Amino acid sequence: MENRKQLFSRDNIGLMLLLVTMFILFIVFFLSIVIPDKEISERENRTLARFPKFTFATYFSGEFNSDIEEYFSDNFPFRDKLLNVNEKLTKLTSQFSAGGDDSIVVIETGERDLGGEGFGDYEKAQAESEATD
Amino acid sequence: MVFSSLIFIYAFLSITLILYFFAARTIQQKNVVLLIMSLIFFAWGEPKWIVLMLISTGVEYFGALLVDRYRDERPGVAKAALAVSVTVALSFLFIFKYFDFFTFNFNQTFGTEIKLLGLTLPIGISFYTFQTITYIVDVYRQKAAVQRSYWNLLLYVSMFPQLIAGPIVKYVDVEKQLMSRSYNGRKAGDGMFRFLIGLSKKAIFANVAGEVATQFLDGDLSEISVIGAWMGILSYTLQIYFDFSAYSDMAIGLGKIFGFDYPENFNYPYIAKSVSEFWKRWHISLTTFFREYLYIPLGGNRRHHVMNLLIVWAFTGLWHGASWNFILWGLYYYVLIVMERLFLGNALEKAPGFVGHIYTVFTVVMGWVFFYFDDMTRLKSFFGILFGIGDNPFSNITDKSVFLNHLIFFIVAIVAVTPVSQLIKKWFIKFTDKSKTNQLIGDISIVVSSLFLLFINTAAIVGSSYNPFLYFRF
Repeated sequence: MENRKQLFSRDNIGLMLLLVTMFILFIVFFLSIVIPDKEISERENRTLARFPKFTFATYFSGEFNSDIEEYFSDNFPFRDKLLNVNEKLTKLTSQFSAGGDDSIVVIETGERDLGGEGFGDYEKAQAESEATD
Repeated sequence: MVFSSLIFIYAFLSITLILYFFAARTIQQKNVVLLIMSLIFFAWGEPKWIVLMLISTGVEYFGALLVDRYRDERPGVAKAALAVSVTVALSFLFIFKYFDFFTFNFNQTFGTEIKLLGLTLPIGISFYTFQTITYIVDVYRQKAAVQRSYWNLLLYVSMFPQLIAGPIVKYVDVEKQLMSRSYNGRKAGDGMFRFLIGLSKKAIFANVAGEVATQFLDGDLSEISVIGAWMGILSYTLQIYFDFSAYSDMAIGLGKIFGFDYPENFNYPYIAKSVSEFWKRWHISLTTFFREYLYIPLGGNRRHHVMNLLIVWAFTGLWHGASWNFILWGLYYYVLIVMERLFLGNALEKAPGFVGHIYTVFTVVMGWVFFYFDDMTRLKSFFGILFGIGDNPFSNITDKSVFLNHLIFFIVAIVAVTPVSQLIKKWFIKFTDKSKTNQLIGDISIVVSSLFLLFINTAAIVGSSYNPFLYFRF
C-alpha cells in the first residue's frame, strides 16, 4: 500500500478546492434565482417548466418537489450553452459513427402546436423509419 | 432528489456546505445543520414517510437504553428488548417492501383474496433499517456504547450522504465521529474530488451505458439479435457497476467533506478470480452486514454451514427487491458459492489466472440477466437469445451502428472498471513525494481537474434533461 492515503499534500490547497467549489455552486444557484425565467426554449422548441403552485396535496404526494426539480433544471443558468458543450462532448466520443444511428430523432407531442408543412414531412419520414426498424 | 441532479448539487449541497462551514461554529451546531438538511433531503421525495423513520429510530433508541440498563441485572429483559426492537425494525421493512409480494403469491397459491396494501417504498428504508439494527445489536454485544441523545442517533440514521444508497455504515464505525471529527483541508479537498469522481461515474459512464442497455433490453425481445442481446447485457454490467459504485463514491466523498470516514463499498469487483472473491469486492458493506449480523449468529461455518449459506443468499437476493428474479439471483450465487467451497475453488486456484477471470465475468454477467428481468417470461426468452436458441438473427444493422457509436466509450469504460486508477494514484503519490514543487503541481492539478469534472458533469446532466423535441441537423 502507498505510504500516504490522501491525494492532497497541502491543507490550504485542499481547503481551497472546497471553498472554490462551494463558491461556484452558490454563485450558479444565486444566478438561477435572479436571472428571469424564460417561457420557451427556442433551441428545444418547447415550453419550459414554470415554478409550481404550492398546495398541500401536491406537496404531500411529492409532486410539488419533483415539479421544482424540473423547473430548476429547465431554468438552469447558461442552459443552452451547456447543451452545446454536452453535444460536442458526445460527438467527440462517437467519431467512429457511420452517421446512421444518431440521426434518429424522437418526436414527442409538445404543448405547443407548431404545425407547418415541413413538420408533416418530418413526421412521415419518422413513421417510415420506424416501420423499417 | 438524487445526487446527480442539478437541484442537489447547486441548490441543496451549496446551501448545506455554506451553513455547515460558515454559519455553524461548534460541532453541536454543525450536527444540527446536518440533521436538519438530512431530514429535508429525506422528506423531499415523499414527505409523509419521514414519520416512519423517526419512529423506527425511536424504537431502537429506547430499545438500546433498555438493553444497556438491564444487561447485568436482568439479562432476560435486555434480550427481550433487543428482540422486540429488531423485530419492529424488520416488520416495518416487511410491511413496506415485502407484504404485497408475499400476499400476492399466497393469494395465487391458495386462491384467497387478501387485500394488497399498495404502499410505495419509502426511500432508504432497506439501508437505514439495517443501520439501526447494527446499532442495537452492537450495544447488546457491548461493542458500542449506548447513545443517550435521540438526535445523535437520528443523525447517524438519516445522514443524507449514505441515506438512499449506502454504504451501510455500522454504528461502531461512526460512533465517535458523531461528537468529534478530525478535520483538515486535505481531507476536505479529497472528499470533494472523490464526490466529483463519483458524479462522473454516474452522470457520464452509468448514464451512457444505461442508454445502450435499455435500447436492447427494454424493447421487443423478438427484434433484437444475439449480438444485440450480448451488447445489452454487457452494457448493463457496466451500468450497474458505475451507477452503484458512483453512489458509494459520492457518499464517501461527501462524508469526508463533513469529516466522517465511511467504509469502502466497492473494490474493483469485475477483476475477481472467483465468485466468492467477487462478493468480497461488490457491495462490501452489505456482505459485511449479512456476515456479522446473520451468518455468524446462525453458526457460520461451524454448524449447519450449507444451510446458513442458503439463508444468507436467499436474504441477499430478497433484500435487492421483492420479486422472484431477485430470489433466483440470490440462489444462483448460493449454488456457485457452495460449488466453489466444495471443489470449484481449488480447481480455479490451480488453473491459470485468466480461467478464473473469464469464469467470474461470465457467471456475474449471467447473474445480471436474473437481476434485470423481473418478468419471468422475458427472463427465459432473453437467456434463449443469448445462446442462440430461437429465431433471432445473429446480428442486425442496429448492432453495428450502436457499437461504432459507442466504441470509444466501451474502451474507456472497460479500462475504468480495472484498477488502472489505483496505478495512477500510486504514480501520483510517488511523483508528489519527490519534492515541494511536485507537491504544488500535484495539488493544483487536482484542483484544476476537479473543476473541469464539475463543468463537464453539469453539461452532461443538463444534456440528459434535454428533451430532443424536433432536433434538426441542418
